[in-house]
Amino acid sequence: MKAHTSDYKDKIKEFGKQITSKITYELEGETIELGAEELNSITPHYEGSILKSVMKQLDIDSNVDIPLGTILNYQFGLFVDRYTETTDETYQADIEYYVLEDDEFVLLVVGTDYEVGDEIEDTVYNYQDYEYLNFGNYVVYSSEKKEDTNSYNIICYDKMLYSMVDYEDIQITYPITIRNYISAICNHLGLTFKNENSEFANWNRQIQSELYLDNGGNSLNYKFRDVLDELAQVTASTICINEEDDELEIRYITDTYDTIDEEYLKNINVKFGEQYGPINSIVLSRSGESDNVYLQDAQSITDNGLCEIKIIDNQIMNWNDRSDYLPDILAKLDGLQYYINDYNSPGITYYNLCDRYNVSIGENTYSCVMFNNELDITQGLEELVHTDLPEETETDYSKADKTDRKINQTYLVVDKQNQVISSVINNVSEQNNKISQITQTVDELNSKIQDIADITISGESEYGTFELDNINESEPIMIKVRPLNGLNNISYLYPRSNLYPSSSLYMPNRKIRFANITKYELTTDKTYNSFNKYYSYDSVNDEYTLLIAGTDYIIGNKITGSIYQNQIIDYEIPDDLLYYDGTHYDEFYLDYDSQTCQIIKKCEYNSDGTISPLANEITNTYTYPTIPLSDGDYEITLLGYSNAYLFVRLMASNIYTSQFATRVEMSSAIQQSANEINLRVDEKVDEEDFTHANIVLKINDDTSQAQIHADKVDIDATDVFNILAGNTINLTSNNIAIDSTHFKVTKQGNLTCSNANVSGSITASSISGSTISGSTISGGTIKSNNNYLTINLANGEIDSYSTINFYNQLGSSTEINGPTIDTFNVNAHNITTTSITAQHYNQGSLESIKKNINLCNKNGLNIINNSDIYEFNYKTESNNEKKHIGLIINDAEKKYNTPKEILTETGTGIDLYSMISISWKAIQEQQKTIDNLLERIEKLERNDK
Amino acid sequence: MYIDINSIQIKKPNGTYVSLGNYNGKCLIVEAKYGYNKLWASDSGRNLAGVMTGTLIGVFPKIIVQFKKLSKAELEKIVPILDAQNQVVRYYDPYKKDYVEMTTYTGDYEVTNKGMVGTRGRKNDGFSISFISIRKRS
Repeated sequence: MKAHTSDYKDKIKEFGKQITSKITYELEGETIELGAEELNSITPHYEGSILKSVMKQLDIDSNVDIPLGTILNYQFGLFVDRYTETTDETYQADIEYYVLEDDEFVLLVVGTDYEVGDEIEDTVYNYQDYEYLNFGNYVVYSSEKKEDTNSYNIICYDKMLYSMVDYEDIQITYPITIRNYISAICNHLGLTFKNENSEFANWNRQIQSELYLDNGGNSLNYKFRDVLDELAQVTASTICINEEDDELEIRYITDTYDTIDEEYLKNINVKFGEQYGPINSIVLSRSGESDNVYLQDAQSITDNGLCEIKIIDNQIMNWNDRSDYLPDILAKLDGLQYYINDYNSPGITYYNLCDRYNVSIGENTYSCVMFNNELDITQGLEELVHTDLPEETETDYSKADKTDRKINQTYLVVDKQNQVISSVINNVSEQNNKISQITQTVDELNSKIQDIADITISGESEYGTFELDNINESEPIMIKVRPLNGLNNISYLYPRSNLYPSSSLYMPNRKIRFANITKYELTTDKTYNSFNKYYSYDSVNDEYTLLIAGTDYIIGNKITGSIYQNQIIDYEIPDDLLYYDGTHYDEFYLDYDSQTCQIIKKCEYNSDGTISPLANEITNTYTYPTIPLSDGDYEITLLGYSNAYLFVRLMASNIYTSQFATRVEMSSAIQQSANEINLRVDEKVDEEDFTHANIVLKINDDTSQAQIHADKVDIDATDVFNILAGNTINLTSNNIAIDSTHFKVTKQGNLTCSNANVSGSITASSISGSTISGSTISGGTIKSNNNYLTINLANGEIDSYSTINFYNQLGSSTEINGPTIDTFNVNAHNITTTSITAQHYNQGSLESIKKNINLCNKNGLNIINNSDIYEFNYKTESNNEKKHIGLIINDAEKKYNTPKEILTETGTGIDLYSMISISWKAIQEQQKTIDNLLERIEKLERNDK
Repeated sequence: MYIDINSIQIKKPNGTYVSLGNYNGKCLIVEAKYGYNKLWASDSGRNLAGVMTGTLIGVFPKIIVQFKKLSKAELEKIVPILDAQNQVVRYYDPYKKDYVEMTTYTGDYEVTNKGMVGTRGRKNDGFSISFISIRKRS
């Protein structure tokens, strides 16, 4: 509330009040004061609310222009015509003083009645015509001349105007407290922070990093004013410029305890509506208001109904510690209530932003808060006041939470600074932590689903017993046992010099009992003890009924009938566990993972049975035991020790029962950028990567490339499209080879078979220009589509070291099956075979295939006559078979007189074409001889005649 | 307020004053009314309690002067002053208990010529004019 006197409050409502205005500013070193003569109208106004920054505006209609940027002070004056007592002061020449004589004030005149500086002992009075209210300083923002009135329309704002600039680096070190952050902003803007040394809501909470610049320090189009708005939310305040001292202030609603009545209200437009509040719930919302945390005053909600304030997408309170801000905010706003109003006043003038005041109308009193005010000061005065109902929000609390750090987190974080949107769905149970997370940036879209299962369950107690439910068939993962005081050592009771067993002093044991309380076994006719729970079985209803010691049986009794006890496994700790003091005690330790069974001893017995600490601890290791637990709920008890520490971790029932591990981590991830998609699936058992598959689909700028990295790729599809781009697998492009036991293709494309089986048909229009090499080709058919097969050796060969064997379906024939081949031309240099049967055997004899052609001068008859013809059988034939007739080659001994002229080049066979030709020539020679003989016969016959 | 023949004076452009009660030994006026008019702002009206409220812009002194029948020479002396944009009128203010000066504007005035028919004479009739302060009384 602006400082004013009670006279002022009375005068402002009076009929006939007189007002004035005064604007003061410095111009070129001179103080300029504009008064009512120069000022046609003044309109200070503002629109405020809680949780925001407010900039006050001053509109001036002036006959005098004021330069832009000028800082001026505006004061509103009300004529009070008042004398105030000012005795015993040193007076100044510029003040008029009066003395009261005969109920009349008489002016004292400087130089006549007193000199400047005189102390006047009489009761003197200071005359005050106008009382001024300070509306604060304003900065001239714009000025526009109105030619019709020859005046200037000047718009000014308070120094909040300095914050209407782009946010930039303010040279601070993070983390920084909220208070220091606001102070740094003020320093940067040239403002003074009024609350620099005071405490306000969340003043000491810390901002961890820069929030309003990107990582490169570039603007994110925030203005400092935007930041102050968010700081107003953080501090649950209204941030404004203080009217008195021109400082930036964290302002809360201030109760003025002032009441105005109907005389301060015009008789038109007076509306006082419903009461807003009391506020009793604070909601922090982000991600399109879908992700909320809240703090509530439950009692207030019960008493008054829900009234919430929702703060949306505040960058400072955007992180998962945001719920920490709620208590301070609720503390400031809890219970806040005020009346909605809209009224015109002939002038109040002295209320400030956020002042709480009362309006009394008739018998009603309305508690109001000044949020919106416009004061029209012309020749007259009119004040327009309204406080609106805040925009109502209604949060679905069933989908909101009190904190982001609870076990089940579902949130969407919009990091505008770094342009990152992260959505997380996290389900945390005692054993499982499931996370589904999507992170989106300008460049990347990453999604990840992870299921981390700690498939153990633990229990601990300082009373030696507890229960663990839903245990899987397994062995204990970890056991720890230690005594907690010297009266309860976990030990057998041994006779000592001062200790003897008696009827009341018996030997306890060191057993840990694992009792499966969901499984029972028949234990009739036994002597029972107090550590077992017994049940009788009702077969009709198929249920067990617990027998209670002392009621249904006495400990030690033998019970007849079908009595059941929990399925029990006892494990005995291998040595005593002693206790000396809080740092010296023995501890039993069993760890399945490391297969460790130890007792760490820090105490020992003295000879008299007392216990003393060991100078150095000793670790005794024992054989790792087998403690086979079955499925079910377990009661675990350190028998006889109700004051001992017991910790047991067991395997819990889980979805990974096929793996014996204490922790299983499954995750899959998709990372997508403009040129790359990365798919990854991992399974991690305990700390070992069990398996993982990684698929990277990457498209580079200039080439297309897809990579699949995996231990195993299984493409299970009925159809695969375009797997062969261009129907070609280019093995040489990237050193790709096909490798297998029987079939290999090198990176050059060479095919190697090792006992490979090729089944089915190989169909092609042409297979040419290649060499097929191998010891055996069997078990199939080589055929052409038109029943006409050509093996074209024009550019190839069947070399001399190879044999082509033709087998019939029985696998034994060497025949070429003539009926299936109409024409079979063999054009070969040399054919070696057992039998060839055909209609024609043609020896190629064209000149074009021959060279070194000369007449044969050899004597065919001599060659024939010098050879011997034999009868023989082939060695593959029986001796009874028909004998063959022919020549015999024995090159070494030459004993069979086979002429060399008819041998083949290798000398192992007969060149039939040469043999026939020699015979042909021998016939010619014989014919010549015959002709000569005929001629001699004719001559002789003629001579005889 | 009349206290003597110099109670109302008008400043001439040369800075000297014309006393309306003593112009060359003659009194030019026959009557003067002193008014103190209150000017109210447009916010005046009744408040919610039914009480009149409003801003008093100020008290604006107004002097209505009734001139006698003026001669040609007298009119030629006075009219330029009356027709000027503003006048400075010096008068005795009983509120201030002293002579005060005020800048005024004048209202309309009409000089009537009587006896236009006949031969008895053609004299200007007397007329009245208002001197209204442009500023409120301080």
